[in-house]
Amino acid sequence: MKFEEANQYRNLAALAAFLIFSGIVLITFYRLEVIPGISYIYSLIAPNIAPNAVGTIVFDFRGYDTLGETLILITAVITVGVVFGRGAFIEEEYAELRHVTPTPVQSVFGIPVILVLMCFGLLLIFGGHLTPGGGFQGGSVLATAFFISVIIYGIKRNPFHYGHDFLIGMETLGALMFLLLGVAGVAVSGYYLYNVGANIWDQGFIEVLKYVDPTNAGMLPYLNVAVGLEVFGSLSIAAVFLAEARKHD
Amino acid sequence: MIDFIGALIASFVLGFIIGCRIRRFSAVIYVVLFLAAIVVSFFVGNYPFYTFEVSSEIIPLNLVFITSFLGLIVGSLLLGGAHQ
Repeated sequence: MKFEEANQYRNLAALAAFLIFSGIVLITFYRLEVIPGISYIYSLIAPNIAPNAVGTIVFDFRGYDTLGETLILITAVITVGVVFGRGAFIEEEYAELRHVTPTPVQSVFGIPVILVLMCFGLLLIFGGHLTPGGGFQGGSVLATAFFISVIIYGIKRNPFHYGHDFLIGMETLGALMFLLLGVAGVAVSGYYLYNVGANIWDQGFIEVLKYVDPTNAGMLPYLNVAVGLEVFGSLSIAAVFLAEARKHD
Repeated sequence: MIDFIGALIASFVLGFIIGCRIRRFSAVIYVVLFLAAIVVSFFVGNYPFYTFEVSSEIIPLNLVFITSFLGLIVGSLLLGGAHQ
């Protein structure tokens, strides 16, 4: 298959996906009924969904806002890519952070610190519905760990060799996971991003990430994972773009 | 007793995915790193309730932290490739 032909199919698939998602979101908005005083009622219900009321508000009550925030990151990365992207790398080998020699202290402590930070980032993602933390913070910590590795080892000889394709894949996977979890809500209730499994009147059926608590967060933990992957991919790819950029004379 | 199996498996899988692009290190580094992870998980403690009990005694180790670490290491060992 020729490149132009494959590109045509890709454009068609993107158009179809865009139409489906925008149609679903518009239908949801059309059917949405805003009841006066709902925020007061919701404030009473929120702690019964997940122990972290902030997480409940962010992902359950105003899930659309979070979806928008997640997509803003993609836009930001596209902007960074356009400004500092591959087209600008005339002499990649001369990029400032391409060849870096770590000091002895950095060599000894670099890898343990980065790995511990990565574990802590994952822990923040999985504790997002329980305590302060979540996908945004966890993803940022993961990206920070990667950026520390870039500072210490540079791009060329970095043991944490996350390339462009891998990071863009992470970002896409996170965003796609968020969008598809919203479709699960349509299938169950008719509303996009409905918190499946947390319905306090029915028996929740998404219980893989159930924890020691009488509440049931439904798909909040999964949304946290999606946002975590997306933030990790976005911030890291932006960091790679900036690190690879050549210092102008 | 451990009643958050789902979080343990998910953290291992996510750690594996992220770890599959970390190059392999020597065996001594892994042993030291594992001990460091145990110490840090002790100090993280029951941060988001991910500790476990043995006969009504709460063990102050954060299991999700440890499974994330194991995921990173296993991903690195299996798919990471040799260090330059």
